[in-house]
Amino acid sequence: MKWRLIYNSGEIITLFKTSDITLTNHNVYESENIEDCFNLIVDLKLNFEFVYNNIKHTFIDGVQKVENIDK
Amino acid sequence: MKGAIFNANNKYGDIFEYDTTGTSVYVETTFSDNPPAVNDRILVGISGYTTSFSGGNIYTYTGLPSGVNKRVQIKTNKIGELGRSIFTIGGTGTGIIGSLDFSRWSKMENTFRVANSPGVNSILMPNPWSGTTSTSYQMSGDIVIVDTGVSNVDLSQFIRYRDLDIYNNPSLTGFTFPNLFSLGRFHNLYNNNLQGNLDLSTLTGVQSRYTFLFYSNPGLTGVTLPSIGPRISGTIANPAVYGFSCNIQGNLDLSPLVGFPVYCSFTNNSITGITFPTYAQMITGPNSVITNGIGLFDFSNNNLIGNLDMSMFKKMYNIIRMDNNPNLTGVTFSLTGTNNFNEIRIDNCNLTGNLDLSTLSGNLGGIFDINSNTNLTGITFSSTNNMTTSGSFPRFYIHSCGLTGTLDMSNISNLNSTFYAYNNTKLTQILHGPSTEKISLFFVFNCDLTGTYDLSMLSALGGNIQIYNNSNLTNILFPTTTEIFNNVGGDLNDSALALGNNDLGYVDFKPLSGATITDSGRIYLSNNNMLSSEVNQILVDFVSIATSNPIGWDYVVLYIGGTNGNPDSTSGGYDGLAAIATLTGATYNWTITY
Repeated sequence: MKWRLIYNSGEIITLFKTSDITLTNHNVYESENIEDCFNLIVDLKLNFEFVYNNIKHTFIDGVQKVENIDK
Repeated sequence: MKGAIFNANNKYGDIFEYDTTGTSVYVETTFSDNPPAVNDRILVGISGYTTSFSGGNIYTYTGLPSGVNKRVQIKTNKIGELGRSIFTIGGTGTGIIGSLDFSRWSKMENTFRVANSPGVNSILMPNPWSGTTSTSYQMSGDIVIVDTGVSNVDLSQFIRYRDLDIYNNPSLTGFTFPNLFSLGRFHNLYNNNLQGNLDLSTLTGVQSRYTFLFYSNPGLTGVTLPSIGPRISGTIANPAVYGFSCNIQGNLDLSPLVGFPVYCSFTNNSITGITFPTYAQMITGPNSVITNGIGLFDFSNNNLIGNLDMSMFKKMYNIIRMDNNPNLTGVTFSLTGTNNFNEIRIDNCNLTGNLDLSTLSGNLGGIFDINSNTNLTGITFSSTNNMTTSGSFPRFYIHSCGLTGTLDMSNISNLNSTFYAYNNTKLTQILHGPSTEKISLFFVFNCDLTGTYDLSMLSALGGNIQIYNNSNLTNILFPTTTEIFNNVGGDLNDSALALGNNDLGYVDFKPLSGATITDSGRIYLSNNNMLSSEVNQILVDFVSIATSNPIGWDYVVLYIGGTNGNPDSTSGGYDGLAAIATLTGATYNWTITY
């Protein structure tokens, strides 16, 4: 299972962990490590919100903020 | 700043004194004759200064040294013969400090008022009154002590008043109340620093049009309420008792209130039980009484223990709140007829077994919130209920309980806005009633929904649908809807349609063909143990939906993998691979993971 980031020039489409097949017209980035996906979102300067291990990661124009949550 | 205001009828020669560090003295009198006749004028003396009355209604003396304490003495002349007089003492910069000394006053009627004087630390009342008749201290108006620095108020010599406005006095720790009066109406005693038990039991004869507002006294540990009789004919409505945000402990005795308050709030205390009167009259309007009724009933954030028996009440409406009572195990209702609520909240308690709401017919809210009662196994609703959209956040919360088996909501119409039933791991079925109202959050995950979940009667279902982790759920019947579906976060379980980790087979999404999935909206169908034929058929249906509504159904992100069978070109007679090619092509721009 790898983390898979689907994105285009304007937005992050989705981020998920899978060993399935993905067909898409958008860009696909894969990594064993979710941090690599987060780093790419920063580099792309895009907006995204994702909760992982009770940590909420919020990206605004590529700037990452993290927040502990009780989800 | 107005230093002090008092209204009274005073007799000739009465003296009033106060201290000031301000630069001016300002005395305003309002007489029935203007300017007052010579014999009606007041005399003002300032220690160390030669003063004299300047005529007219307003006396001003300026140019006093700032910060130097001066004693001001005001001597009434013949004012007592006037029907009404009003004194305004102080004004901007007068800085009244210390004691207001009324101890030589012989008569006080109408209204007594001291306000906006944080430097006033005591008010001395005559004790006893020097007047010769009992009417010398029968106030036809109000006693007002607001925004002062007083620490105690002795009202024991008054035998009558209309309203008590004694609030926003941060140093006020106690009262000495009158022993007898006949006109008491509104008692505004909030935002003081009252300590211990507030004994109001000596206040006999309180009108049916009453309030007791003693909230936000954090040192107040108890209250003894006076007896309030049945309604007096023509009485204006809506009596209230507000004792919230104090530290009231133990049992609260409401039994003296036969004239029961329409509004009753004791939230944020440590109350363990409530004693109700055996017979109550809720006064809702002039000549309008509901026997054994109650309007606002708020005992949230207390420590109610065991079952709260409210069976004496036959009519309730508006708001009932008992949320956040961790030892409350049950509530007994026995209402009659239709009772319309805007808000019912008994969440975060310890409701145990079945909650019988069968006598609560009519509107349940607005807000209906029973969440986080882990020992609550069932709810019995009335045969006629309705949800409204009233309130700032209408919702139906029954999540994180122990609901077991079938929850029959089929007699509740117009479910709307937010429906949370998640984390009921023994809940196998929910039966819904019809609704044409918009639903924007619909969460039924981590339950044990079994077989088919019928949502077809919810014709404005939209927003975010999370029905996952129901391992025995085999089908969902969607309504025909034109609403918009959207993600609420990046997690797969925050998908617009989060339907993964169930046991779904073929699900007919075609009733949603008139709806809109927002761009990058996700449909999560992975890990449902679908057969390849079922996956193929769903994919072919999606092509049909996207073809009929390309604007509403482009740029969708679909997950249909995991434990599901792989799509192929033949299973079930459907070509799933061709469908994927069509959906992920340049026309519809889907992203599909399988």
